[in-house]
Amino acid sequence: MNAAFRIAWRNLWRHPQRTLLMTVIVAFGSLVILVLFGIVDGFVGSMTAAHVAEDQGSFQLRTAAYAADPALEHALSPEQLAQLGVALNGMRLAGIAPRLEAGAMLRSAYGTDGVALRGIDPVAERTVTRLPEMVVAGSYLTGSGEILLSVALAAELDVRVGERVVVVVSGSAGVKSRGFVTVGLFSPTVVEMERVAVASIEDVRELTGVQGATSLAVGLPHGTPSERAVAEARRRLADHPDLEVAGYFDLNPLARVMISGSTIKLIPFVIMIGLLAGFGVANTTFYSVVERTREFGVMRAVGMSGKTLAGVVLLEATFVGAMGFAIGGGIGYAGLLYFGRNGLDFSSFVRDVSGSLGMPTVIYAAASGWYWMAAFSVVVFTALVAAWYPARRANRLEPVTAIREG
Amino acid sequence: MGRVRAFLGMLLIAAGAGWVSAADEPLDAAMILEQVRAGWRGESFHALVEIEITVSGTTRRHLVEVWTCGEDRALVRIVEPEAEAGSGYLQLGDALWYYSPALGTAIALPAMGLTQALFGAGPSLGDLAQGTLSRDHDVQAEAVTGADGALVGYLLTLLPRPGAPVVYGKLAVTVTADYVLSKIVYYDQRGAVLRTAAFEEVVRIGEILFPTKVVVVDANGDRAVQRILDPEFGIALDPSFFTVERLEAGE
Repeated sequence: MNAAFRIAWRNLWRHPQRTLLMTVIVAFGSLVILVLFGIVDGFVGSMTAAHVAEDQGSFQLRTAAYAADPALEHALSPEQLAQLGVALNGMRLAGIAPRLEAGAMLRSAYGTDGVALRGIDPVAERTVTRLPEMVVAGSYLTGSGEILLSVALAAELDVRVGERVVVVVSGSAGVKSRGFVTVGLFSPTVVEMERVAVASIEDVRELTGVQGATSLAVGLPHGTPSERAVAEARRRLADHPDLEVAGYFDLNPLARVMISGSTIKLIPFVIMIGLLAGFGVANTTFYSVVERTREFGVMRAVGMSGKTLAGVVLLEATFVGAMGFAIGGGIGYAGLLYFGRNGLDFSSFVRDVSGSLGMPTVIYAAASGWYWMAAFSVVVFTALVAAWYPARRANRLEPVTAIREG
Repeated sequence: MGRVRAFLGMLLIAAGAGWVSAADEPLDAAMILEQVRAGWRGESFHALVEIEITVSGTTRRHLVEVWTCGEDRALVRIVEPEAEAGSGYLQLGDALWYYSPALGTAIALPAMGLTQALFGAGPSLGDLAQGTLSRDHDVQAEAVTGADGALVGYLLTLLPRPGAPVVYGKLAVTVTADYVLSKIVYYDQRGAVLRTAAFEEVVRIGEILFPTKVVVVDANGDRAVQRILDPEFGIALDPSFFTVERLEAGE
């Protein structure tokens, strides 16, 4: 067997150009499969992580009526907020933050734009989202009369930190307006958040005339599965049909469509890439076998069995597959690790095309170990299958015929 | 819609600017503002108004007919251009409707449309009607005198109070000695002039001093010139005049 290894390895380097061509094909297939899995999985992971960390928290509590019709009159009353506090008491949570959201017009001296005005408890919000860390200019909210705008919105309205803007809200108290000082600008990766202006919940209550909150955002300790927490919260609130526990997909119905089976949807692409790589290897291997018919005939004539000869051909394909995978997989994995750390900036594409879908502007690639396995399995398996026919041909060679015809 | 509402607000300022005759005693800043706005409150008004709006070098002309009654009833009917003739706006308190013959029915506009500000984002119609200019600003007044030392008018400097719904850094309002609004200069929060509104061609109609031309010039060169033709004050206008049916009738 050692001889077969040696012969196969030596055969590869007797035709380095051919070997390199096959290696490149396999490397390219491995690279594409790895990147495809990494980016798609990374997109899903980035989107959910960004929504949870920047916008909505791990899950939310709201009235069932508000879920069906997000109007201020369906907000949680102060009594319901108290009930929820009692119901969640004892659960392992990072924090609970009340939110009061209303549609509003935001005015500067240079323009007017529609926004979602979000009233928050500045202290409690820290326990649920990373809004304070998203502030890139000025400072985080400290009290009444202050507002945070996204960098994009501030640029659109030409507002600088320290300048006053006017918020106009149509609430239960009629149309009311108030001036706020822009204390900080935040930079979200979720495009939807660019249309959110953040102020103290007390100020928003005063403007809207609503004393409760439209939702309670809940943060979970790092590593806690949200599905289990949502199920637990639902169990605790089973006696309150007027209240709803909204998990990630309840809050992002479009994401459900985008995410569901995203990895499975890749399988046809993976098969296509595998076939391409396989045909490349099969084609090259087949002609290398045809080219060496005479040589193989001589090897059979001096005593090498058909099985060993077929093994040599398969070993050649295996070596090429392994080298191609090592190169393509190495480059692909290094790329995924790099983009997993630094992210891929899709901001211009996301803003222009799909901002309303809630996609994040920066996508961090995923680099799970099973991608490596998947790429290896697909590429090497395909290479071996592709080499099977040439190997079979080598196995069936009649020495005399091969020497005469080769 | 913004331009029409802007026009409506300006019209009401202009009307208010001339309603009060000169007082004998000097007044403090808040009182001067009160004098400027007080006249038209609760009164009726009718006029044809020609509007020329120049945006990015292109000028469009509109002719509209306006009726107002008190602080919260107004009907604006577009007369020209022909393509828009018959369409208009109706304001009843906090409610606002728009009608176009092409639509065939009046549609309610969001209540926030009522806060559409004068000249873009300046003081709104409500501010002027309800005296919120003095509520939202600290006002300083200084007398303006001629070479002979005689009182020519007043220069009012309005600085927004904390929390006030004002996007400007400062307003400089010039008022004649007769309390006729003469000019408003709008400054942004960085001290730059954003726009100016000049009230010109003052005519006397009975007791009223009334500017019939209002010129608004934005810092970027866009301008709106409004000429008020045949103004009538104190006409018999019943509140029932202001109905959605009348708006839809296109009369």
